[in-house]
Amino acid sequence: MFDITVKKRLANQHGSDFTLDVAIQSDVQRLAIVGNSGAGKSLTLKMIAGLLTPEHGRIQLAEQCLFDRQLAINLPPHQRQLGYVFQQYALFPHLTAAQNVMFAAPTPSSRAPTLGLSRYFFSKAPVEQQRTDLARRRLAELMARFEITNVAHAYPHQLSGGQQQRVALARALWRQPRALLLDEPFSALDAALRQQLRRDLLDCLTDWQIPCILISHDPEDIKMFAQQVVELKHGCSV
Amino acid sequence: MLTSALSLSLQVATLSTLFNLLLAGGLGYLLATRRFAGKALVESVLTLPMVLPPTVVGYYLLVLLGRQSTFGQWLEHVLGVRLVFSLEGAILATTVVTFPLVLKPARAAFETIDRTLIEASLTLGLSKGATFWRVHLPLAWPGILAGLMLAFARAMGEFGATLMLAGSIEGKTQTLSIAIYEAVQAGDQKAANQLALLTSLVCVVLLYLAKRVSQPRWQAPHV
Repeated sequence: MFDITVKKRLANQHGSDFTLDVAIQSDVQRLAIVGNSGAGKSLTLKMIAGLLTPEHGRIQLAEQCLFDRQLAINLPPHQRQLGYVFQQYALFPHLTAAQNVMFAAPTPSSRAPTLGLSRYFFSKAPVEQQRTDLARRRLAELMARFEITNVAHAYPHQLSGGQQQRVALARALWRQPRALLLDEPFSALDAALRQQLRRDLLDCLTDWQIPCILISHDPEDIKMFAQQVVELKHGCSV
Repeated sequence: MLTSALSLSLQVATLSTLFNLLLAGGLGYLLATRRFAGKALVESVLTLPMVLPPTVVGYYLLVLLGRQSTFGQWLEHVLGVRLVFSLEGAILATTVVTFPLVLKPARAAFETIDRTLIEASLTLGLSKGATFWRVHLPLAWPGILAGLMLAFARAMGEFGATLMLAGSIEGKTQTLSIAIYEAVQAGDQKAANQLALLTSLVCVVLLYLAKRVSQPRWQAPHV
């Protein structure tokens, strides 16, 4: 499932070097990466997502090669089809919950510059209309699943932490990603909410057969999600 | 005189503001997102029109683009554009003077965008170009718009640089602020009063609008 070997030297602001040297081979559906802060967990996840380019190595998910230094393969992040859930959710503040969830939808109204003028310039062709209907159904399904239908038209700053997290998860799952990358997804929530969300997410991943890589400090997360655990120490996998 | 001066001022202000949307907006984006050698120097030079007396800016433009200069002669003979004593000259001078007023807020607006929002857009399948239109631009827009409003108001009152480059030809380059100066010089108190009031009115309306649009509904109200 996951075949990841990456190496990169990074100089931090204090001038000292940090070398990330990670090798992960795994056949499980759900993998957890653990380690102290500063061990390179987030950097590894960013390399898988294509937000950071390794100097050496290769990244393969299932049959799909995302990066291979020797074969000069390096898919840009927008072609990797991965869902990424950021620690602080990274919701777009200028879009409502529903618009955030369907951000990746290829409809003309969402692709055009969003200064609110697009609806005056585009009339929808039948194909587009069909696509829009499909998008609307998918939106309804995801919103219902994560119980955010009632806040569809609220802006992120009006949502609670738990709701923001649900929107972020629904958004990452919109395109049926090849895999879901989760960077400490529950760390900003209180304990009761955490347990509830873990269960909802796990159901989702099982139902849709989406593999995931999870970064976490929380033993509860590991217990519930991880079929295999990889530990990073000072940038190296052990 | 009143209507022609107002119409000229509006033309100059509108066009120079539009040019600055592209010019200062684009450069603001580049300065906020790219790193290159000599960036600090480029920035200082670009901010110069804000601190230099407008007459000095106008003088530089005259020296660089006037009919005596090589570039000015090329413009006139090859492109048929004459900048001295022309409306084009007034627009150019005003564009240069108001440029930093758009550049600064545009740059700041692009710079304050959370890096993870860009990363989120990329991982959601949007190319860098699409991300610019759908994340960078809408988020920076309130800041850019505030800068444009300010630039427009400043353009309505532009005097020094315009006078140096475009002169004061009634009905051609004599904008509101220059017409006021001429009216006072000629001892025409009534015209000066009217022109001054008109200019103030336009500027107040603009500043009020700027304040209203600079807070979009998606932003949390400031506590």
